[in-house]
Amino acid sequence: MSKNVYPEYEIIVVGAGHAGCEAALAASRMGAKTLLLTMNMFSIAQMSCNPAIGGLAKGQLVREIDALGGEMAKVTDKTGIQFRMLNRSKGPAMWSPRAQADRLLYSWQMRLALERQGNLQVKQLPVTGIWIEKGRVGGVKVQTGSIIPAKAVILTTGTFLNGRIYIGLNSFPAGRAGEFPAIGISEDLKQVGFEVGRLKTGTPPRVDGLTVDFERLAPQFGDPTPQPFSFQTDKLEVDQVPCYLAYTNPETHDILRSGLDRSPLYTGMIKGIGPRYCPSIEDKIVRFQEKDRHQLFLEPEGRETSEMYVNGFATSLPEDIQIRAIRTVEGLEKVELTRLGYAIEYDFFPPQQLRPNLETKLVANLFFAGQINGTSGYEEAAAQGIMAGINAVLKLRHEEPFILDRSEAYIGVLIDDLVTKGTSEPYRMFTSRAEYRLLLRQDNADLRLMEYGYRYGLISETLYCRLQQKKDWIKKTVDFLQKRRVEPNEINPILKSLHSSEITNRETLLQILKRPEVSIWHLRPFLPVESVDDKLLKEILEQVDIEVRYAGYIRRQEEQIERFRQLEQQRIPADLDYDQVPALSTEGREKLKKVRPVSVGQASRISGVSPADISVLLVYLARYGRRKVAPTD
Amino acid sequence: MITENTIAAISTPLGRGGIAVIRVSGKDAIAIAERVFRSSHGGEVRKFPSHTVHHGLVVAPNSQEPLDEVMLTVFRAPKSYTGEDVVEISCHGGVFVSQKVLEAVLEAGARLADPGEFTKRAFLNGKIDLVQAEAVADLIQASTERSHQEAFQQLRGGLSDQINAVRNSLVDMLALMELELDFSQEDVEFLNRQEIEERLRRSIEELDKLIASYQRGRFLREGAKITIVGRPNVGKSSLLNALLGMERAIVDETPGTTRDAIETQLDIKGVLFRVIDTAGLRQAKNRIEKKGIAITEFHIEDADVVLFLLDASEGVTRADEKIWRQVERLSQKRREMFSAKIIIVGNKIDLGNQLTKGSFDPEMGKWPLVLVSAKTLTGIPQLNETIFKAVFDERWERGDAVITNVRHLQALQKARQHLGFALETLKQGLSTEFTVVDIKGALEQLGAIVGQTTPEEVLDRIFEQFCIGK
Repeated sequence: MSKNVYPEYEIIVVGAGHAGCEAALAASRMGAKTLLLTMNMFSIAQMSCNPAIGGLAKGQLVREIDALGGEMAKVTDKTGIQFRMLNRSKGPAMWSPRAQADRLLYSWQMRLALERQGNLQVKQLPVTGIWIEKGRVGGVKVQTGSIIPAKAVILTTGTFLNGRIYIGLNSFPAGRAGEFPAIGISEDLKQVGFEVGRLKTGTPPRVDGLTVDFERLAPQFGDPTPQPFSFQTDKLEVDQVPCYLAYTNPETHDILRSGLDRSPLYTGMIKGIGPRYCPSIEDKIVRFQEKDRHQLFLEPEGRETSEMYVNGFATSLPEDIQIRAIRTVEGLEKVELTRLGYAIEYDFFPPQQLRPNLETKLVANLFFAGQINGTSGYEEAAAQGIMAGINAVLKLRHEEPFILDRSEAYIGVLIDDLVTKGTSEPYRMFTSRAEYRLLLRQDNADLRLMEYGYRYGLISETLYCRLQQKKDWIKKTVDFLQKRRVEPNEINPILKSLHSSEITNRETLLQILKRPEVSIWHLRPFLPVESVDDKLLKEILEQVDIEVRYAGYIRRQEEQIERFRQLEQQRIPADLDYDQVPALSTEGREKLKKVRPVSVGQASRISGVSPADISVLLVYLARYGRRKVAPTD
Repeated sequence: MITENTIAAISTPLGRGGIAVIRVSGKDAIAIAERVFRSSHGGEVRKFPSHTVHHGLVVAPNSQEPLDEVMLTVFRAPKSYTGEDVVEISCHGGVFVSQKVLEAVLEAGARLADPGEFTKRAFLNGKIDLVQAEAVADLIQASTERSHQEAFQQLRGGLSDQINAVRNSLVDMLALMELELDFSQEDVEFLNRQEIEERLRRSIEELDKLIASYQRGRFLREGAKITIVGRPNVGKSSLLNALLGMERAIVDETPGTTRDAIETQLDIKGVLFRVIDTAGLRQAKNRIEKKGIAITEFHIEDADVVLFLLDASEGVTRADEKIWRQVERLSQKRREMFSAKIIIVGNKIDLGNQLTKGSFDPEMGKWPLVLVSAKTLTGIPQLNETIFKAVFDERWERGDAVITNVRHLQALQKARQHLGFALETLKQGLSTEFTVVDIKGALEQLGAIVGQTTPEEVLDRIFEQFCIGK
């Protein structure tokens, strides 16, 4: 093997999917000499499944990535063809942006962002192994036989590791339809002691829109005034494209059922565990036999192309069944399939093998992000990608790792769940996973996280100044509302126009704003906010409105967070020998040894670790501290 | 250091010994003591110097009901057992009294200490050395196991089933609410507000029932307290002996012989009752009698059942009327808060009966009248039956679940409070995620008894019940 064809890089990212792109961009933007390796330059940031970004809980993740200085939101704004804010009927914490994006353009725009980034080189070179020496990563082996040396390696291999596609009883090795799998990496990692598992996911067929009878399907349009994903996008000017709703029927189900004897799922060919929240259509009809119809969404693959994605019809049934079944759907009677649905099985590394900075415990300077950690979803992948990119650079600089906790971000919830609890099915984010979700909103992601992005050099000075200005005005405005009392004659005309009861004595603006029928915009004439542009003004007033209206609930969550942080701040030394801790329960000791939590708080979330174990640990740690044994790492 | 909470517990063995010590430790220990302690010299706890002892009363912080006469000792940080501010309250050693004092302290803001927690804090604050500390971990693990075992014992009788049923229906409800939040784009039916409200109300009812059972559970474990009251020489001690079927109290024809209250255990239908025979309520002539009367007053206030004793052969005398008014006044709070009962007992019917309900003061007439002769034992079985019914109403069956553990009670009360908030939120018409905050809060409290609910469990239910995903 040749070692001197390539220079040494500080960081190599393997895989140019949603995790890999964010990781490479973050690392290079922080100044590290970075190499991004892909098997195919034409499938950078490929949306392997549906052509959409965001959605419930995922939209919040995208906004967080953006606040940290990531790329996903910007590319979505540039290539989106339909924008919706989901859950608008709920409170602000539940609002989630979602966009349909043009699959080809999305990939293209992300590629441009990579190409234009300094310190970053992108190469098409399949990786066939990881070079590990004395418990530390030294680089990657590539198909040509060369070794590319690197100080740190980030693996974002998606579904490619020993990937295998299933369509009916046919199966073949592949990383994605039409692409090769990655062979060799898993084997190298297994050899140094990594535990490896198998997961499964699936995707529906794509159809030719020219053969769809749209007249018989219900269209679903984007929001009239679309809201951008990125805090840095001023305005969206986009001609939006609709999606279409369709339904399966009993006949569809009969045909699907007739193919179950040739289903790789039901014949036991597929061993990997699939996501329950994203079942295949055959799974739906078997598990929910009483439902006589299932909803389908036809999503455009792009603005120009006629190809459409049949969301809700994921399947690995044989092709004849796929074709016959889909043609029973009203509006799709004459449909032509452009690509078949399939299931794919791939290797993942149970994420309890990771530290909270996404570095593996076994091999120093080796980081994992995305589906390799058992997650599913572009947004979950991108979130881990940016965190791995930042942390790889911090590790090389011998700086403190960047760890977000569960009260700061969905990203914090995501990574803490992975490294603490692990996962047995492809992990997807849900808002219900976040204990403090009333505070983890898409509207305040910048207030929560942009400061960090700035600290690591991923957010510009200009943007940072704007953030400070925004924070100042929010505080000033809330203070003002508290202090400013209005006379009945000042406010009553406004109240009257809103059919709100008029006041007889002076009241503070804060009291007035608490009325459900009054919004902050009605009080605009009284407010002192000045010298800010319209977009910033809107953002400021939105925050003030939420802060005032939900003050009681926000305060309660803040109190919960305070309690949560008490345990989170109790650090556990990395070299703590749990066998030396007396009186731990057997199960607790095993689990603690496996996960090696960084804080007592994290320890308390491990299943099998009892409250008594936590007490024992606290006592032991206090003693440990008193003996002045210097904690390492 | 995790010293945010102020903790409290009874730190002497339960129910044994003449004095029980309730220990309070943490930064709010002094403030909490202030809320429950009325010094007999009028001083304020926050002004007491460290390591000084003070006499006074412990009162319930909300009702201001006096609970016991106590000695209170203040130890200021760091010169205390735990190294934090510590207050120790020495009260009368009975299980019931010490439990009431503990409840008062908890009501005033302390949290019930975990097993070994005082020792743990002492260690964390450097108050005990390494050698001693080696044993601490074992202690925590061991006492936790023991308390788990105890708690498990207390969870028999279907209690855990009942709490689990509430928990289950809350998790179900939570799953349906999360479904609406996390899967609003799916083609499934969501719960409407009315259904949620109805389910919430049902859970609240269940919790209320469980909370109410605490009182009954306390009766079962510690015995309901029966206080015998009456004018001197009306036969209180003889009645006690008759109830016990043996000589126990000193019986003497000289009024005022029974100076101190005597607590005796009585078994009716296999259930324990604690009977207090009191000194007569009358003008005290000397110090000893004065003290006796104060104690009598306390036992009337504290009784679950007051046996108001009359001499049937004499009818209601003016002295009886005077005592009756005192009994009425003293027992009022407990009747209102814990439905304490009064039974009118006409003794000495072997000598004749002048008592008719019609001749009673109307307030007295509301209570059951039982005619007995302590001497011939006539009517004693009927009295037993009446006492039993006064404490355990007819709906009670021996197999019914009861809460007996104050830790469980606290958790249930907090859970109940959360559900109350949830109902409020719902009525305000706020979006579901705001209601969820308190449903989760309630589940966390119940989790302290029957196991925590994780987000995964909620998601599991959603995936089990609904066809999710595109």
